[in-house]
Amino acid sequence: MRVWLAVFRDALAEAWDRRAFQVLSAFALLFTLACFSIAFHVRTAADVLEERARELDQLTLRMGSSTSSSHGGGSFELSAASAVRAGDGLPPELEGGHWIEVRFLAPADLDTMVQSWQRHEQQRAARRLFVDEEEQDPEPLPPVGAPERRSFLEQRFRAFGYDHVHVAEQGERDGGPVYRVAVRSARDEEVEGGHAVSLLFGLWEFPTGEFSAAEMMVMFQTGLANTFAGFIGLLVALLVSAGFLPSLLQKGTLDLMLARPIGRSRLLLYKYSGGIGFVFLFGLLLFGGTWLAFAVRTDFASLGYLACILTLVFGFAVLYAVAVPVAVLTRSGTLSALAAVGVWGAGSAVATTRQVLDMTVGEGPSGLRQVLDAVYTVLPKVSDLGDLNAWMVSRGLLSEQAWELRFSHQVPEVDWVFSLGTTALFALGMLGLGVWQFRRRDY
Amino acid sequence: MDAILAAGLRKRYGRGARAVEALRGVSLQVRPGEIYGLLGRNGAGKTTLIKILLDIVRADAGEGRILDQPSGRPQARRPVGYLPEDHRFPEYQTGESALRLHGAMAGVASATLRRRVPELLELVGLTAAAGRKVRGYSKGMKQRLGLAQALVGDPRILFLDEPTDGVDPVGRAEIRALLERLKQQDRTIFLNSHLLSEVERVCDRVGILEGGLLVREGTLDALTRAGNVFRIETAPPPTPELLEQLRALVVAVEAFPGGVEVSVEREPDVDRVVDLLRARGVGIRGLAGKRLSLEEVFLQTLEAGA
Ligand SMILES: Nc1ncnc2c1ncn2[C@@H]1O[C@H](COP(=O)(O)OP(=O)(O)OP(=O)(O)O)[C@@H](O)[C@H]1O
Ligand SMILES: [Mg+2]
Repeated sequence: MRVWLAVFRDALAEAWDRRAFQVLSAFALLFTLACFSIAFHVRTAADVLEERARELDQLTLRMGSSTSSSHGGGSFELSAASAVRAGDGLPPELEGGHWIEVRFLAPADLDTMVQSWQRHEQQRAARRLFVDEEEQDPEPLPPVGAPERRSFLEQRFRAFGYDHVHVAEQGERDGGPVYRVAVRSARDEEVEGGHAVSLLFGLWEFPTGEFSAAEMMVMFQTGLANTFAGFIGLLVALLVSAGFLPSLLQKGTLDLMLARPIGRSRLLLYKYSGGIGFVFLFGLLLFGGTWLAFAVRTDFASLGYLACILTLVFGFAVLYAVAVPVAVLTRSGTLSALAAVGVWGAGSAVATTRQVLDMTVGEGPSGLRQVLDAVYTVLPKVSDLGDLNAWMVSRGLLSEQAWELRFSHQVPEVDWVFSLGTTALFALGMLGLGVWQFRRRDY
Repeated sequence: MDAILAAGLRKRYGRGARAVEALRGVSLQVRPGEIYGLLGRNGAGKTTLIKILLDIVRADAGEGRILDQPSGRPQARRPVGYLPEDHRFPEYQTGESALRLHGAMAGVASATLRRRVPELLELVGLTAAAGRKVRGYSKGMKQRLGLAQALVGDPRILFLDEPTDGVDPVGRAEIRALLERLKQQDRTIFLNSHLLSEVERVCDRVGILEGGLLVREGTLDALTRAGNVFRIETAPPPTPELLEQLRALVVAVEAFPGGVEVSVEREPDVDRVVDLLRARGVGIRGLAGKRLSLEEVFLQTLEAGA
């Protein structure tokens, strides 16, 4: 342990000397400050309800990073929203909520919307962003009756983030069916457009639109975890620490270290883990700082975001393991960094290709697919870690209902045991290769 | 138990036509408390021998032991301090941080280290530069730091590969004094050096490596003794007639101002020379077996091998 700490301290001194420590700390500080400038303000509930109800015909399908919007067809008009009062004859759980009246211009308008919604739901269940022309209407939709119409309205308003929705048929007016929809949310932060978000200490303020405050937070946090920490941060950390190993392996430096009473495997692994410790520290600064800023300013404080430190460290550990044998064989920091980044890029490219095939042509040509699958199995799946981050952050911030209703389909289904397992195996293989080479050489 | 043992060490670098046979079966022993100097021309295999003993290079055959531990084990290096030739401290380290790192790696307790690091810096004259990055050190300063690094674990056994390389004359004298002090503390020192005058002053035993073989080995005394040649200082100097008479007794006689140098067949013959001189009323002021310098021994050995 003491030896490890000494090596770790040495790694930090090296990172400091290369200005890497300062740059990454400044980076973390900057983001902490940026996050500290974010705040949410609750909007008037009646405004929110009116605004949401106008979006009744907008069907948005979000799948991972892709979004497709479609128009549900049908025309309707709305009353102004009113607060629910004791005499309104609504169930008690709606007390404190609001209601609004929706009049469809013709019965057909409503039925078109119901069917668009049903198709949308099918598509969502199949986790397909685009529908093949030939595959259109894979199974015929059931005929639309009164229960489907009620259910459509109820589900649609629930999808806006209201916990309690009460739909009452009000007969027909001017040839169009009229419904009164009463809603109430137990958690304001999960109502679409329920807040205005303020950035840069109020310099810029806008309603959260089709997102709830909690979802907005999910986006901020996954953005930070995946783009800033998981991409830029990881890249910088790799470029910096790829030089740590060659600096140990330099002729003249290694002699000094090898003469110490420590085995070669341990020496190499200590040096490797020194780099990991450095990135853990960076993760702690970045995620800890921004987490604290969010907690102080927005009340959103979930552990899911903090857990992203672990995926960052894991991703780094895997790619840094690639640098180990390359460094042992070539003593070159540049080549080590290139190899690590190259494997990362190759893994991501293969994974993306498979995803695109899945979403478009399904399985694709079988020969190509088999090669692709084999390569995919071997290579580390660092890009899956982004999905893991999204999963942890959204599970941490959203309630069960909101997660199921609005988010579960956005995070791709991943076989985590397979993904993380094969990734870890790859890393272990690389480390093993590095250690084996390091042990058998003369210096 | 030997402090250092090498038995039949062989090492070939590379393969095929470009292979270099660095060691071709080298055996030697160093006793605890001894200072052993290994001499040899460039490329003779001196550094290779040390590196094999420290498991930095793997031998093809033979074995090395340190205090009876096989040198393949990390444990064997616990009592060892090593100053490699051409060593390089990473540039971001300072004198102090390098010593702290190596101290911890050598297993020195933190409390001890806090005391020892400034002491060592003082010892090698780097106190003023302790907090400066190694990239700003001169060659001699780096060498001094290397020496401190070798000492940081309070080692029983020291391997020093050209310790005075790049060090100024004052520093060299200091290092020599340090080696003598270390010897008094009963430490074993294995020294590779090209500075024969230095080796001559501090080493107990010397080995000469040539072409990967240990061609000569012995105590300094045994190596430098020049057969049965004696220098006799007299007062007054012997007259030419007396020299003629001496010639009859011995193999060769040569006068020098203040005495004669005689070569005898057997050691007791010198007594007869002394008897004759005394009988002729010549006073004896000094008598010593003539010594070769280590340089002469070294050059003679290499010539004999060629
Ligand atoms: N890593 C290596 N790879 C290939 N050949 C090597 C290696 N190290 C040493 N040699 C060769 O082995 C021989 C012995 O080298 P070594 O460094 O042991 O000599 P030395 O006696 O220490 O020389 P010097 O006095 O110059 O330090 C030389 O011919 C050298 O070229
Ligand atoms: Mg050498």
